[in-house]
Amino acid sequence: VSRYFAKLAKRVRQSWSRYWFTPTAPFWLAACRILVGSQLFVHLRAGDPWDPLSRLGVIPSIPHELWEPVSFVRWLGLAPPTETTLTTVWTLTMIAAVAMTIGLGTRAASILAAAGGLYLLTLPQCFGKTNHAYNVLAMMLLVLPFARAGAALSLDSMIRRARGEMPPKLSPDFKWPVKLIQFSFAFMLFFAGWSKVTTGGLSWVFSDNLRNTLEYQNFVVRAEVPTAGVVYPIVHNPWLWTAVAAGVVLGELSFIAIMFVRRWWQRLALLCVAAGFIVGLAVLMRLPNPTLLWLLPVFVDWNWAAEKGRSWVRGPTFSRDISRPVSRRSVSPDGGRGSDRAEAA
Amino acid sequence: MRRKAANALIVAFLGVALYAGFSGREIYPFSSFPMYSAVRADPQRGQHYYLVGVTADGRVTREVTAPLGTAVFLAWVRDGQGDPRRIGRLGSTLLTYNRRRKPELVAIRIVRFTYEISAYPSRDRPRKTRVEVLREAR
Repeated sequence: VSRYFAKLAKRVRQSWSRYWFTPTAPFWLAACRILVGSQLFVHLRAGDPWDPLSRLGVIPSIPHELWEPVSFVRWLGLAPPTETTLTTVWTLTMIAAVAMTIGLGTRAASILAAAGGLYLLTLPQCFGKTNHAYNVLAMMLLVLPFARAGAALSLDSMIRRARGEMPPKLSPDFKWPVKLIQFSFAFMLFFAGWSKVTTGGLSWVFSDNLRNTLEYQNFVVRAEVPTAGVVYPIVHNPWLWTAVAAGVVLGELSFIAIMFVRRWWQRLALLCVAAGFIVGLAVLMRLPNPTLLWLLPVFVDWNWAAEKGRSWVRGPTFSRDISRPVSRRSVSPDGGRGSDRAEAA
Repeated sequence: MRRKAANALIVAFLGVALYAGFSGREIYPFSSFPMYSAVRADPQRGQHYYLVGVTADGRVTREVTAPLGTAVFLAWVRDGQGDPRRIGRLGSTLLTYNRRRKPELVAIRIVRFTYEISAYPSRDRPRKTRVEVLREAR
């Protein structure tokens, strides 16, 4: 029995190592850095603290008795920010977001962008209602300070190259941060589906729930905006709204599979599900969320895209090893560090 | 050492995300994402609150609902709809909105309307059964 468990533990360790630490090229992580940094910049730009009606600019005007801090803002006992504090943090975070996107002083910029971004994304949640539109962005920001995100597609890498340093090799350091960033997105959809199953149960799908929700979203909350034509057949046909509700729950629950499937068409199908979900939210529920659409390409294989791009530019003889993950067989127990050394030699 | 730190980070990240997701606790940004998970019973009746602005020509505009509106509404709804300290802030809210707004609003109002969604197979759109101005600041 002990030998069986020892063998099992070894297999689990190997699978874990292969999943998180297979050496890969740095482009996928670099693309994630650019997507997250640019989205943070776009998001914060709309919250200009000098505009008293913007998402962040309004915060100093809100009466302090409405302050209900959440998460780390509560644990740290932070008070509502003054106009000066808010403006300073916003300015520094904007600079960090730009630096992170272009990859200049990437590590320091990522730390500053994560700290400032998380603070600024959390502030609007501290007035009695949590909005879940930007959780994914905040979760992704948490990962990047720990990653070597400036190894490619960055000014840092260009400067290193100009100094005569070698380009980065395949490394496990480029794999696990990408996985965590992807998990941030996948968890959002999975738990949204899970909440529907555990809170609403079968009634969420098989009652008039979706029809009533669509009526409420389209004709009560946002009655002044013209309704999309596709809403009408759904709210008038029980089988149609039941099918859409079932599709929503199944789509949300199944998207997490993208973290485990390998074939490109399976990943593409799941990406289409997620994109359909985001577009459906905008069209049917009047809840447009460009942030999610912007961040969805973190699931695109940017290492493969970089390899293709390079082979187009330089011809098909360019080394294929630069962007492809090594195969299962070639992953050594040390997670590929040996193969890195061999490649360097 | 580096691998151990990465493993610790992965376990911590997944642990907090799974705990928040399955327990339903909000540990922002980790969450169970419960939006729209409650079932809307049929027939659906309810109340909805708006913060609206009134322009000099008497037009009512709803563009003032966000973002200050959320906090004002929630205070109103939660606190028995009458805490004079908080509602007294409505005037300063108007000043805040008018700091950059052209033309300026002459008043803002907290409006509540009661609505009713007819049960299927009715094809009627939701009806406003009652509209009340709960508070106005000029």
